[in-house]
This record gives sequence, C-alpha cells and structure tokens, in this order.
Amino acid sequence: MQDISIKNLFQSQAGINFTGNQTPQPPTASFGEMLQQSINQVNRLQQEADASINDLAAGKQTDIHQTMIAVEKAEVSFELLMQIRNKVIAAYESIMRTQV
Amino acid sequence: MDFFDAINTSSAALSAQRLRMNLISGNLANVSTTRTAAGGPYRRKEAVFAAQPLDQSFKRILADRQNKHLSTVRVAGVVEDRNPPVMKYDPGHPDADEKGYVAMPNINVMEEMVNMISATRGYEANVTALKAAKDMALKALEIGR
Repeated sequence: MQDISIKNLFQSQAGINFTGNQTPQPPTASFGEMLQQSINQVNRLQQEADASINDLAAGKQTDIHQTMIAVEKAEVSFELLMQIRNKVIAAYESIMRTQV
Repeated sequence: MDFFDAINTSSAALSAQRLRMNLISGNLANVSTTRTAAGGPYRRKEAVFAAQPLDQSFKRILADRQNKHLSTVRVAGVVEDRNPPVMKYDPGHPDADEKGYVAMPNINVMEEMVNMISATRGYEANVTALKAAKDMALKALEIGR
C-alpha cells in the first residue's frame, strides 16, 4: 500500500517515470530541494508540538493526549530525519575513504 | 496512507472516549439533581458516535485509493435519555409536588459504572493502538541501522 504514494512522490518530485514510457520527463526538483522540503516538514511538526505544549500549559487546550500525540509525531519524524542524516554521512565517509 | 493516519484515527477515538467519560462524570454528579435550567430533574446524557472518512480532501483521495477504506470516529451528538424521571415519595423535599412526590433523575449508578469501565478500557485500547503504530514506524527506521 505504500508503493502507490512513494511512486507518486518520486514521479512528481524527481520526474522519474515508472510506467515504462519512452520519453523521460525532465526532473522538476533536485535531491537537495526534496531534502529541504522534508526538513521543513520535520521542523513544522516540531513547532506544532511546541505550540501544543504551550497551549496545554496556558490552559488553552485541555486535551492531554493531543499534546502527547503532537510530541510523538515530532519524535518519529525527527528520528526519520536522523536516520537519513546517518545514511548521508555514511555515504560521504565511504566516498572520502576512496583510495587515490 | 502513512503512519500518521493511524495515529490521527486513534487521536479522534481518544477525544471521543474522553467526551464519553466527561458525560458519565456529569451523570454521576447529577444523580440526585432535581433542578435544571430547562426545568425538571436532570436527564441522563449519552454520546452518539459516527464513523467518518479520515481525510476527505479530493487530492488525497485521488492520490491514495487506500484511504477510502479508512474511517475515524466523530461525535455525532449528545442525546438526552428519554426515560421518564423516577417519582420518589419525599414530602419534606422543597421540589415535591402536592402529593409529596419528587421527580428524581432516572440514572442507574451501576449502569454508569459499567459505562465508565467501558470508556476507560476503550481509551486504553486506543492508546495501545497508537503506541503500536508509533512502534511500527520506529521499527521501520531500524531497517537502516
């Protein structure tokens, strides 16, 4: 069930064509832009969690579970960002270890 | 669909169970209330839940056909119990009628306790589902390690 959305994501962002069409579309977004978008989304979730904690402390919001869920969402997406960072750094390090 | 859909569904269910718990608290607090703003004794309140598609935006439905099977819960409304009030003989009560009977709320404390257990367990079940969805997401991230 995930492949549909991943396919759509890559098709729309990187112009990769999965349908076997002979004319490849030009890429619409670079890897850097995609990374930037992901980081922005993680940042937005972190800010939402912060705002939710503030609302709870100020008494504006009375649902404890919604604050906890906002924090959990921020945690999971940040964990994903960290994993991507680890992979990127591992790739960079293995390239830097190349014998010349 | 992503992992957050499961979390959002559980979140709506938690809100629904919390409202149910609040209504049960209100019912238990007013178990012998004879005066209300609407006149007459307090009437027992109960929440009605309805299933609702998770995300109704056209873009998401088009992008992800799996979404149409997902539904979350929403509170359709709060209804009042239609059972007639219990008439209790208490001539000394200020709200007694000329025959000495007082209209008391038709609330069964035992029934409310059972509903309270049900709401608590429902809340717990949804917290467990939420934790499981989060653990699944974190487990997926362990693939890269």
